[in-house]
Amino acid sequence: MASTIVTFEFGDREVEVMVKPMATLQSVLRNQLGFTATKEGCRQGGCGSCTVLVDGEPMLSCLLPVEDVAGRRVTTLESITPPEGLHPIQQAFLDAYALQCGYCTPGMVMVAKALLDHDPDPTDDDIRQALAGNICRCTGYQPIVEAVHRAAEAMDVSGAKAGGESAHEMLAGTSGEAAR
Amino acid sequence: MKIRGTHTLGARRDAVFAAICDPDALLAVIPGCRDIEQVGDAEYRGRISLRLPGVVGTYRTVVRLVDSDPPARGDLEGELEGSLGSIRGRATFRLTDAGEGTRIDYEGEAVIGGPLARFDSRFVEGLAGSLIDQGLRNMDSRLPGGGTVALESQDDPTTREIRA
Amino acid sequence: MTVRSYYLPRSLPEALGLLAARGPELLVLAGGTVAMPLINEGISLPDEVMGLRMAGLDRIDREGDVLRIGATTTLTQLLNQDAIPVLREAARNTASWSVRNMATVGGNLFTPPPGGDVAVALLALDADVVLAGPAGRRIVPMAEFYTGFMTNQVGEDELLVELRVPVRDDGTAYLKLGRKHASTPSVVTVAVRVAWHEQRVSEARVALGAVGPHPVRAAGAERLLVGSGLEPDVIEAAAASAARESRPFTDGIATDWYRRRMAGLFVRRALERLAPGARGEGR
Repeated sequence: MASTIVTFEFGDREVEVMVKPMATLQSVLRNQLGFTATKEGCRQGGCGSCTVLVDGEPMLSCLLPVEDVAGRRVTTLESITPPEGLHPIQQAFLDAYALQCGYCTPGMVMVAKALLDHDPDPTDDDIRQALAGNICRCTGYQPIVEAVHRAAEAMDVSGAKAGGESAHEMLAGTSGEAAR
Repeated sequence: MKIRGTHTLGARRDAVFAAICDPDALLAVIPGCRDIEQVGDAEYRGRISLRLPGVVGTYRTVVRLVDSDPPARGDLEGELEGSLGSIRGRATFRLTDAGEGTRIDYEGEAVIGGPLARFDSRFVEGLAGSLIDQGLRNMDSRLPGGGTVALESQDDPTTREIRA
Repeated sequence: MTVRSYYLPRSLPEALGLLAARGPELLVLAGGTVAMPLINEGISLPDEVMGLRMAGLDRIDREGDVLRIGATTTLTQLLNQDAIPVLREAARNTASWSVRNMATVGGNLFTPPPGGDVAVALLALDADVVLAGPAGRRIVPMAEFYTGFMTNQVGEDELLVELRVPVRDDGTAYLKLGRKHASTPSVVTVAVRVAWHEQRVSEARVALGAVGPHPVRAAGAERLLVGSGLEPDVIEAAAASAARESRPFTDGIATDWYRRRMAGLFVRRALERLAPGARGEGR
């Protein structure tokens, strides 16, 4: 198998990796680069524990050949953790007891980050819709929803809540109808 | 799973029977067949490439003609194995003259194992039926006199019912 | 992973050239949400794979009264278009946010049973499937696309490149029953479309998912609806017909008898949304 070199943006730098064909972004991040915050759960696209951001949008790294992110910006939990202290979303998860075993947490945080970047003031329903693809066995989800609200409050230092696109439109389209 | 079907082929009965027992003919007509060779008196081994949406793989197959009454009937036993699972079973085919051509009736049953077993057996039956149909059409178009009769498949594989 | 080569063509001609050169054993993937789980599990063992993500097939364009949807348009893109509301509903009910950012409209047609839920809506909309091959392009109506269990009209040397969907004023409704609110294969999926002429139904489509080897239309139910005013007894009869016409199956998600019952129930609910006087004209 011929190895190739793939380059992508990661945090504030460019990363170059030599990979066998179709190595997943998940395995590259965890095994080659040692960034193990992104978890390996099902490798089927069902649990969400491998969620990363690609150009700011949440995607499942277990289903992404790393070649597909060449030249794009990849964001993981490691990328948003400041050199000292915690990102407001991480702090909010701690404060709200939104993790126990912590396995789903990086995926949850990445989706929350993407959600809040789109819409600084999401509703409960927006948060649940956004996180619908991330499974948790420990918390019962409610503390996680509260954590995202807390993070939204904490990040709203500049009163930016008035801006941003509506999460509802982004996640649910504009029909607004319940499906069931 | 159980399958059964009926086809009318344009070729003559003895030519059809001979083709079923001829590895070179089978190589040409079985969809996806990569190689096949006769390894015993009435045993054939081969490899078949499967191509379904999202799934590519090679499947090893062994088929034995356990009993026959040429050119009227044959009893087959066989296995197909690969990453999508396994299919093990037996089938009987009967050939009768139909004008200038041949009518083939077949029925068989098989046990499915592996990932393929998670699908309803109706689906696998339908898929098997489609592949058999395609194989028979391919065979008919290669044989003298074949392909001249409009092929009738009296058993639509996509609506095949389970027979208890 | 057995893959020796992974190709990422930058254009459709390049993709078709690769398909012609590498042959039918080249595994084609778009969003990867169907193929990658199978590869990760070792069920699919391709030697060579071609990804279509960068082949320029991801545009949505409105051309008069046709919405042209590129095959690798993501479900998120579909969710964000406003020309055809029922396609938004279908996208919204598929998978999860992350998966929608990757999964493609074209790829949804190749989902194994219980099947693609966007495909059910495309069937109700009488979408046309555009296939491209060495000889050029050809169009296959959605109603003729499937030929059996995981088999379809796409030739060995062809790629699905576009869906063409008429943009109409008709009433549409979409319902999906799953095991949970997201990331669930379907127990049953229903998409209905009704066109009106002078307060009578002039055209009806009842498309069902997860009650057959692929999305199917309940033709008997459709015939019962045409010429009616969607009265309650007509809806009841159409729903019962849809349940009878279903070819449901049992799998890990639901049993065949339950799917048949739910098909009837959800066809009724969908039609009730389109009946005159229903609260909020269903679209």
